[in-house]
Amino acid sequence: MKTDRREFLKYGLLTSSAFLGSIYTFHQRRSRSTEELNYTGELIDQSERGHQLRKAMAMEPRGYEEVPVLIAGGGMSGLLTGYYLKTHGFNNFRIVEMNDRIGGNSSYGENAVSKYPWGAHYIPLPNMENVELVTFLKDMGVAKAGGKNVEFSEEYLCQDPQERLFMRGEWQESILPSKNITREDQDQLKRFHDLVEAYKYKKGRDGRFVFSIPVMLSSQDPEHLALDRISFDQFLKKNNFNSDVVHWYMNYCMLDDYGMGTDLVSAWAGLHYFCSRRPLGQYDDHRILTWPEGNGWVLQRLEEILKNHIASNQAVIDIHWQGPKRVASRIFDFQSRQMTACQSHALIFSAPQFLSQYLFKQKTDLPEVDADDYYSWVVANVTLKLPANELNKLHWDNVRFGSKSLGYVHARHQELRARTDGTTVLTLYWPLYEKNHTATEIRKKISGMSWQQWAQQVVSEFEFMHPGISKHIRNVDVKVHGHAMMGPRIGRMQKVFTTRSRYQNKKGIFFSHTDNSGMSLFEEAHFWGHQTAREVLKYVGIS
Amino acid sequence: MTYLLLFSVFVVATCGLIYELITGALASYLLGDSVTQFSTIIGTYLFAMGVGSYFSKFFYRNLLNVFIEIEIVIGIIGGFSAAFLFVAYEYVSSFRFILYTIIFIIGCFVGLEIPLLMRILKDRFEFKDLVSKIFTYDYIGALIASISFPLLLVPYLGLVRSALLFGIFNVAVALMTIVVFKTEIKSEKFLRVKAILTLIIMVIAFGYSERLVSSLEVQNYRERIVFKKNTSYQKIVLTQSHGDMKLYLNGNLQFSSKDEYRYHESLVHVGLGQIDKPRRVLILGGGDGLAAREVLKYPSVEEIVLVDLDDQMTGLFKSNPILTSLNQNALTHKKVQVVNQDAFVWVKNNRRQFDFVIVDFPDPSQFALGKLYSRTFYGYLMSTVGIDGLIAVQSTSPYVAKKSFQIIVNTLNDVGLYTRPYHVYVPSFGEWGYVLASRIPIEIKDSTWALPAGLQFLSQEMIPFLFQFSKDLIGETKEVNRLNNQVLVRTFEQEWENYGHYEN
Repeated sequence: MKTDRREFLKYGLLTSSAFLGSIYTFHQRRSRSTEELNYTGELIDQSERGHQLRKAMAMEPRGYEEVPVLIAGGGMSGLLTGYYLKTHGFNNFRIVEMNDRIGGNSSYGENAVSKYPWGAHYIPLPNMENVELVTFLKDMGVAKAGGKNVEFSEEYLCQDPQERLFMRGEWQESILPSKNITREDQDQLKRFHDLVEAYKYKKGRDGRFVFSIPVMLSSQDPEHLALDRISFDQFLKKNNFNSDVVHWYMNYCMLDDYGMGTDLVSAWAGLHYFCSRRPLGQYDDHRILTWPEGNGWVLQRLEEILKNHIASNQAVIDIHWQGPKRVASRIFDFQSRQMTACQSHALIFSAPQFLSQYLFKQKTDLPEVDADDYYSWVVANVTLKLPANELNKLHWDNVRFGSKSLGYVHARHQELRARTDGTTVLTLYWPLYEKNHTATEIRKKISGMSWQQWAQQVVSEFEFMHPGISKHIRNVDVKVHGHAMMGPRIGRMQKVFTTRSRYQNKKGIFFSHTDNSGMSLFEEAHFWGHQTAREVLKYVGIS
Repeated sequence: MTYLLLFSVFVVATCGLIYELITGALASYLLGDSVTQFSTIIGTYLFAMGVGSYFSKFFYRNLLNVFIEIEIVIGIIGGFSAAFLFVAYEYVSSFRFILYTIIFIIGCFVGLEIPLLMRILKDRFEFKDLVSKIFTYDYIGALIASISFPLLLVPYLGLVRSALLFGIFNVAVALMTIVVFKTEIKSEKFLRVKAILTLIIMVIAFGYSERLVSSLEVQNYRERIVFKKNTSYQKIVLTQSHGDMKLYLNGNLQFSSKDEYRYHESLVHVGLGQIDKPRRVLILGGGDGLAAREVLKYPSVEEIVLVDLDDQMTGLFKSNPILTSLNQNALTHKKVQVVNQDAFVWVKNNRRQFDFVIVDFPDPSQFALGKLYSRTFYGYLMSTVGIDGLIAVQSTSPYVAKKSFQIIVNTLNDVGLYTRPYHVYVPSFGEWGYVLASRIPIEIKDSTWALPAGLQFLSQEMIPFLFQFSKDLIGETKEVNRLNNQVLVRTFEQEWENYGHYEN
């Protein structure tokens, strides 16, 4: 009994700290080993071409050529415009694309594992009245029959299970929160649902649906267009939607389609997201078409049809309207570094419209668009080998509640192959939107960020949803879309409906881009492609 | 100091009960029938404690030394008990013997503890105080153990790590006793080194136990595992007990050698027996070669194409002598061509036609497998048979999953195939269903079958009765399984939920 308390404490502490210490070092060692990068990857940044072009502006043209119809921009809008020119038998056109690959926001990539999207990755089923788009999808081999009996190929309809939400520690089916939310949240979601259902079938005094896709088919009844003068936030507040869950969901949807939050988006555009799609025949209004490479699938078909008309690695600058059927421009080739003078009957501007003020000689009658209408996006394609328990639970779209990212899409979801060894590609979408920061400020903030910095953020986002997943990751490719897409801010829709006719002052200049609609959707690209092709054909005297 | 000993009563009691609970839980987990396992474990344990208490009287000297030694031994045996038993279960055939031996040894040592402690403390308290104090701490320890075991230990640490943690506590008690009573014990230095070394080993084991646990990956198989392999696509487990061999894929029973003839004869001959001189047969899935074995009974068959995703699965059934005797070397037969490819992709690209097609996929328990039961798949499947060819589809249990069964029938009909569902009883599976499909209506006449000789289950006379469905085998649903609704997987999940067979 000679031992004193101090000694007892000392040894007690020693033994217990030896115990705790070993656990601690064990954890330390593990966490350090995961910090070493076990994956490769690259950063794809397209801003370089813009800088090169700015330098080339001063160059004098050496050659001269005539291109009767010149399409500036090889994104979905430009390609669809070309497609409709060609399907109507007109072949005297060229599509000029600045990057080495066409596609714009519908571009895609491919590695040994799978094809995967770099941007737009699905097309919602069109509304019944959108006959042109239904026909287009039939021509692409995606749909059969017509009218109410239209049938979409099961191979391209998004397979079940479609989407899930990671909320409060567990996954739930559907992105719309339904589990682990309060009674009040549920009530508000229900109230919003009822509001949406009512608006879906509501018509304006002009007999058109209040909200339609394409946007130009919507009612222009001033009573409803008044919604364009307030923000979606204000609308929600006015209608007592104040639950955090409801707000998260609304904001998620706005970021998803417009790249900006509820505080900037106009209430009209906010409601348009929810209310403009109606069930088609046997299909409900949540059905979508998707492919491993996203809308890149459509792109490849268009590319095949238009291959003799596409000139990539070239940019159209210095567009000069000299009178009817006389549009001068210069074309810069990034590879040969040559500048060529070009004369056209018609020029179709299918590039993002904030560029028009740099590319048109006359600065009048240009779309009222500026760079702050375009927020940035980051898209990451992560190649990894998933363990079976994670693989079996994957949905097509996987979203985390409260995250700044929009979640990830599983590229191999649409594959017919029943079972794989778990190697796959997940595409993470990350809109770089911050409240009270302009798009230009955000672009400045992210300029110079390295691949490593992006990849770390991407990986930790995956770790949030799937702890321990980083050790399975093999490759992380990151693409920064500096001016990803136009978002419909307050007042945009008013401009969409009223200002287009002003472009007609210069006969021979056409604007065919989703920016005409103020929202970057496939349906809008298709609408303007189809519409513009008809106008151009009439103008050049084909029909 | 005395209170330290009383505290050690508390720790020792907790540890003792924890080991009992761990082995009980482990036994019922591995062997099933938790009532039997828990009562026999508790009984053996208590009896062993009695034996231990009896033997305590044979220790006269250096009681503290004895106590310390016992703590270290319990710490080691108890601490590693769960890990050891899990390993033993996989590799040893006489698992029960080892289980009860370990329980008995732990029980004996735990039984020694309290009597020894009472004797150590007997001069420090009055007898009535001593008894009251010791048993109070003993029972409080038991309470703590029994509450923390289900609520904290099992969910957060698991059995293996819990056992190790409490082993560490036992050794820690030993070490503390050494330190506190260093003047009263003999060869204190030696004991101290021993205790510290043990503690270090156990702490290291605890640190690495996560890896140990995942490598054990405790299975829920009741039989002895004779083969186990994780391929790129699935987990193959082969078990054997009392001459019965069972194959599990991802934990789901694929066949039992006792009654697989019922399953495979029904899958093959009901359709193939009606075809006049079949020459070419396609088997989708069925990498075990058992369906191929049945097909080879028809001398007119010239060619069998077997498409199974997993080359390791077909490789196993080509080479393992027990398995090749079961499938009678069907997979290495010269008429059989094994293609290791995804069946969906293969069927989509296939341009050949077969007289008979066997579709023997795992049940639609996951979305990935559900694709192989979809309208799109059946659309492609239809073109693998000629106009007078037949397709036989294994279609899960029409008793347990009647709606699922009906959905498979509906989906086949939806692509324009005519169907005739039938069912048999397979003891290992229960009531089991198949669907016969064809591009023209299928007639069932008594005399249509030309069965090969030597079947153990089917006969000409009974086949027409297999097409009769009792009321409880008929599910009412009009749903069709599409890639974009996967209604089959969702229905299947619900219907099998109560049976607990599918946990992928």
